[in-house]
Amino acid sequence: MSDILELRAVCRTFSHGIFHTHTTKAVDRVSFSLERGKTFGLVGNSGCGKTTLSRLITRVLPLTSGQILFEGTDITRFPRPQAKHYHRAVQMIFQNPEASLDPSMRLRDSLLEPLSLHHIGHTQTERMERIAHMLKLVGLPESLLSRYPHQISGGEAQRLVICRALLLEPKILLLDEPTAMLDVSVQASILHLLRALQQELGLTYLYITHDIELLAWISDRIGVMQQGQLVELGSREQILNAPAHPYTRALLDAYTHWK
Amino acid sequence: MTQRKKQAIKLIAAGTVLALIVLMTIFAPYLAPYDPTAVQMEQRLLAPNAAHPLGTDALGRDVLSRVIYGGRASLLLAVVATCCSMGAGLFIGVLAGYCEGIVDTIISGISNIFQGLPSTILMIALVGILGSSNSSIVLALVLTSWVGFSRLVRGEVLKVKQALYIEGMRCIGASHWRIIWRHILPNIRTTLIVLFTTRVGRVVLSVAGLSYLGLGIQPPTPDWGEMISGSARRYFRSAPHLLWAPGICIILLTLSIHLLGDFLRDWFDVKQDLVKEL
Amino acid sequence: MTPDITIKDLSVCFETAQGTVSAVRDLSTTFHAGRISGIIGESGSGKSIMGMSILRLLPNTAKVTGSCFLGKDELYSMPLKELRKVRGARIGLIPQNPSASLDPVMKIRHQLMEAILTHGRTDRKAAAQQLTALLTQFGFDDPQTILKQYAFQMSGGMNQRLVSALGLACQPGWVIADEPTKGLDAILRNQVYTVLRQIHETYHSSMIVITHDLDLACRLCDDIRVLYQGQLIEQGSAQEIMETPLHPYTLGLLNAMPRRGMLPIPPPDPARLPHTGCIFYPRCPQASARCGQEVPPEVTLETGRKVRCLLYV
Repeated sequence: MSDILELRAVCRTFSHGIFHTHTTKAVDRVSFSLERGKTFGLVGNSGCGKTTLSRLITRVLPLTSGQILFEGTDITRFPRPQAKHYHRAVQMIFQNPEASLDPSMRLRDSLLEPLSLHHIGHTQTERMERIAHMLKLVGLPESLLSRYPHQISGGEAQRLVICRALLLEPKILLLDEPTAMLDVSVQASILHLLRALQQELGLTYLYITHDIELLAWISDRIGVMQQGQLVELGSREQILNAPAHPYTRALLDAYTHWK
Repeated sequence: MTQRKKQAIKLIAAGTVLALIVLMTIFAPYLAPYDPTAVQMEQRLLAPNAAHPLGTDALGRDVLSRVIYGGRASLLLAVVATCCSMGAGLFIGVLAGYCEGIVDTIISGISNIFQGLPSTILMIALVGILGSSNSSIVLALVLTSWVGFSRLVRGEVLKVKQALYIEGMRCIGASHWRIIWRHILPNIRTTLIVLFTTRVGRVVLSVAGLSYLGLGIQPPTPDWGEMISGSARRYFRSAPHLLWAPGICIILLTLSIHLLGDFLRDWFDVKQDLVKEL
Repeated sequence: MTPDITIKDLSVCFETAQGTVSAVRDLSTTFHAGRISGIIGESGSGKSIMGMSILRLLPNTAKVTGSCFLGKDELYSMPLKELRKVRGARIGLIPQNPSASLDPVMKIRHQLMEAILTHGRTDRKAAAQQLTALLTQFGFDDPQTILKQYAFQMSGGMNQRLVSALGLACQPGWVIADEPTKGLDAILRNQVYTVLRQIHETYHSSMIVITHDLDLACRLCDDIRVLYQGQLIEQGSAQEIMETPLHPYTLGLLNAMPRRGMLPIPPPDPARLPHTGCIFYPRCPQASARCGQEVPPEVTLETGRKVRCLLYV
């Protein structure tokens, strides 16, 4: 089976107003699937429901309707132990790396936290060995561990967050604008890192961004979202060279202007 | 630089005064020249002299000894009461802030009722009904001040809960208990410390106020608030020395605690206000 | 005629608990009137601090030395009262993060009105007319409805236009735009570009655009200054910088862009630390041993471009 995660007509509505009379469809009948070991790029402008979708996949928000299948099982029907397994297999990387680290914890403790949560490694030394190995993989020195999040740069913080996610040996990484807050030169190094990690560890990526240029570089398949709906879906070449939907064309046009 | 110097001076001044007062109350038995409760009717209302540096009161008790002992009861009571009300406020505030929804609505409703009650009158009424024992004073203080804590804690929890790292913890499957204990509480601790110091000062004043009204710490036990009221009120024209020492002590104690609280708030602020990029 | 802005030997440092942090070091440059000057640099390069220091809008922990002239007026020694007449009236600011720069509880009308009336040039009636004209110019078809609304009712692009209108309400000769495209997607970026271009064309405003967005700088600006760790390392026309970057850092920045292959600039080499030479030496792929010992001077080339690198000495 090559699809690791499958979304079937996923919907999420939010109700607001005093009597919950108004509803907004943040995600509307979205279906796509992630192929194992590949990168799926999801592109759309701010407010199109990309982030809500990632929250649905991480089970932070419940679905309104539809199904999300992880390796063939519906994630909403997981019994507890399997849910924990799922939380380990799917890791999330947020847009703002500094805010994804607890400011009151030393980085060492931030890294140890997921290990102790999932009972990985029996002794402290074993866990520290894992951390040291993973730090080397993402290219960070161990001397960083005794610092606090505000004492490191944005690029280092994002590497650290990636390192923390990888400690759990996940199968899927959800990347929600992981470089939007970073400088171009740092963005380049993070993307190279992600690509190298994918080859080494066989990870599957869902890369969410508003920057279609980045997807041209990193993704295998691209989905285009507009106002909660998936308006176009196809391979990278299809989307970039022969966009069918007017919105996709508008997105691409916005970039070609700059050349 | 001047800003930092000012802060340092504030800290040293407030810290020294507070430390002196606390040490004085702790080591009172060694410092006091006389027994603070020993009545000597033949020596009543003496002006300050060599044997009694601050004179004697209407029952001939040594004022200096009573001042040295006088902080004990109220300081202890204030710390205990603040701890209790902070504990209650913390629990309720975290519950309201973390659960939100119907729990929050109910708790907020109750808080509003408590906040609407005039605290001094409520305190007087409670102590009046329950009788003035230490435990009823603590109860009265807790009942009137937990709202202040829980409101602030609720707000802080709501703020911290929004942070990405909390969502991150939920994504890796952390339990609610773990998130509260390991991530929310450590991140609101600075607020708690500052809140605690400012509140202790206020509670010391409340205890002194209660004693002044005759509802607080009861007569044979020496207490600053009681020393200002009681018999002193009757003699303040002929023997004003009775008022000075305990009054100054109350002022110094509350002032130093407040300054310390101020300093802590500034200090934590500066730490958070690191210049990274503008 | 709008005067030039000249900065001489500007240094800004901050006193923090960890010691003194230098944000801008010994910077001198002249922004010519009538042109759009871009300042590009990454986070921590001191570009925003430099821009805000022109208006003396820095946190009070900052220590500023040097001087800044607007024509003949020296801004740093000017009394605050005088300076307030410069802010807004002669140098306008378009701040970062437009949604956060508008008062959420004040209607748009009052905010814009305040901006016009602060400098007391017109009465209320004339100001109201000016307002309508201003909004129409910024592409709002129905100014009267917009004026009755609040900032949160508007989209990001509309807020950006409103903030720009706010900065230009008094028709200042100079405009400083601080990171106008930060965090915006491609379509909004296009809108911002159009707005800034329009401002330049209609008001003939001189502009300083502070940005990390190389695309924007390339497209919008006449000349570009590149800042690295508070130092001006390269200066030239936008076309020259984009086509033939001289400094290795500028070259690195350009190559890191997605369409140019996304090659990262190497991180600082620990073997090259500490050193007494060029600030970019620890990361420079073209460095020689000399770069670690000698601080490069600012070299002016025949074409008028300036660069701070030993390769061109």
